[in-house]
Amino acid sequence: MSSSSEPIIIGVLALQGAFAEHIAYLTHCLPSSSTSSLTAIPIRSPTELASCSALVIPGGESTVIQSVADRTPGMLATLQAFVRDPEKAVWGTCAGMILMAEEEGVGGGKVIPGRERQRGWGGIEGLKVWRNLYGNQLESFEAPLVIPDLSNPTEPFPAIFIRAPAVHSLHPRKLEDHTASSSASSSAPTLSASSITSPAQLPTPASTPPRLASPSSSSRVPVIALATLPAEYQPPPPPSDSHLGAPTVEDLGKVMLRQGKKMVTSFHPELSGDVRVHRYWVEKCVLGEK
Amino acid sequence: MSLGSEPTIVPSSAAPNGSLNGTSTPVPQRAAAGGAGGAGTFGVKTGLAQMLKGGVIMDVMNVEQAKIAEEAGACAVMALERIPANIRRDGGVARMSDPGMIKEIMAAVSIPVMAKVRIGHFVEAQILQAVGVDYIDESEVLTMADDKHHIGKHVFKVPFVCGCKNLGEALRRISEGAAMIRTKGEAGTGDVVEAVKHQRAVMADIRKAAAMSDDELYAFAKDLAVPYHLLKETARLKRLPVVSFAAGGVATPADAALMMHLGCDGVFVGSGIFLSGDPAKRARAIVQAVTHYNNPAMLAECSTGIGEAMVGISVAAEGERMLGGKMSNRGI
Repeated sequence: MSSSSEPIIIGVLALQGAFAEHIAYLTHCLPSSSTSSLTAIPIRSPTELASCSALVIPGGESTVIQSVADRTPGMLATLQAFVRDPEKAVWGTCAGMILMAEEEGVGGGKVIPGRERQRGWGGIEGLKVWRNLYGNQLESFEAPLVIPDLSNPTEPFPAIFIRAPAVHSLHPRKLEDHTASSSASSSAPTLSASSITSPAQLPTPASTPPRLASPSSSSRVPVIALATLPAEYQPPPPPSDSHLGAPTVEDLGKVMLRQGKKMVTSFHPELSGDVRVHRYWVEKCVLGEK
Repeated sequence: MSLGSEPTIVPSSAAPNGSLNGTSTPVPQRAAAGGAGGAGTFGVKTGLAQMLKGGVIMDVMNVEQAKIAEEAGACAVMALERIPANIRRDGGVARMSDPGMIKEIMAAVSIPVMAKVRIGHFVEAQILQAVGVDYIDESEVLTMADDKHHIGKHVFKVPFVCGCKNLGEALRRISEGAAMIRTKGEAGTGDVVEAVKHQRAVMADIRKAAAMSDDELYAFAKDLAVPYHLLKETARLKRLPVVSFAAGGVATPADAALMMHLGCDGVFVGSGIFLSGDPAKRARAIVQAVTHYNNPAMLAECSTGIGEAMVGISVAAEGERMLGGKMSNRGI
């Protein structure tokens, strides 16, 4: 690796879950991704996180990651601040996607009396997710996923969904596509009409998504759906009477989203034997501004 | 010597581990051919185990305990009517738990729920799959139903975890379809010595295999009575090709951290939590210890003031005379 530029450290949150897999995949794809010097390291403390400019929140159990963070001095607050900082590249997979939701944006799961509901860390604005919407382990599955922005876009990505969460809804949202969701309109007026783009509307794979954003205008950074599951794989809608309000049916199948330097996937690229999603995140989100 | 942070690579989905283990392996694109997505593929079955890594799986006997476990940070619970220490105490035949009790626990928690079947009892396994549990433990803690055959696990959609006391047992179980391995240890004793012995035996044989030439590996596979290809894959990865947890005697945060240092990916705690003085506190402490196993200051903190540990049974002192005998000799 070249030492010409400043080293970039990618942290992989190592409180619980499949963090070693992410480190292996990142390490594998780093040399070809740039001339910068990049490394991926496990993160278990605020001090370790302080050295990082990017973070992966891996799959695992979101409740465990949350409670271990909460019981590790200084960790939870440091993580929340990191995840919300628009300058930091952050990617959440599965459980990590749940934690990337907005603070009051996590539904599903059982609420234990006397215990706080699972909360998000606010990585992607307006993202609400539903835990285990696809069901338990017997409903876990693999599906070939078309992701137009990856290299070799005609080669489907082997996406593995394990007790996966789903997007419940995205606010603020693109109004004309979602007229049925009246509750959304009140929160939407500040956004441009095309804040959410479906894969079909994306530019060709060769071009990158619209240049995103100075940190100060993060509220205007569009959320882009990078991949949507074919209809036959999509989960049933969650109940509409939860504290999250009504779900947006059109969003349920969106399994890979990006907002600026933030990305979420409800599937597990780190189990797929295919490093293209890791490479995409490193190139677009971690190195994008360089 | 810690191997706890090595990635787990399952045989069916060769992942880009080349850069970590020194061999340079091209990254195969897993065939997307066939189109229709698979439920219950080996990748999906091992995948859930990979999500459990760095976590603690706790034995629970009712909804109340399951909630305590989830609140404490368990990454999954094992639903069973009697924890191993009680199985020893009660004697008699230990069988699969009442599906009704398992369903109640599944309805009460959001984390994955596992349950145990007797070794070789594929009908109990069919029942648990129909109930919809997330993982089945084909367990020596229950009375054996078949003294020759384990369950053929590949045909099930639900994944299995199995116990082992050495590399041969581990690879035979994987060959039968186990998607996750744990040490047998000696359940219900609160004595970690057997789990340590089993984990060290597995790792020592893996290190031996890793240094062998191909012709030596053929002979070693014959000695271990395991398929050559699984041994070869294990030698290449320098670890078991599926997620491997510690089980059988873990009673303290220090025990849990010890097992992580010896190369385990996570820890099962059975009787150690709900037979202790303050189950909620101890459960939380063991969860912290598994994450921070490499941080003695943190371990000192989480070992402090967590109440009485279970009294336990010294395996060395009691041996085969202890109630229930040595469970780890069941199912080789």
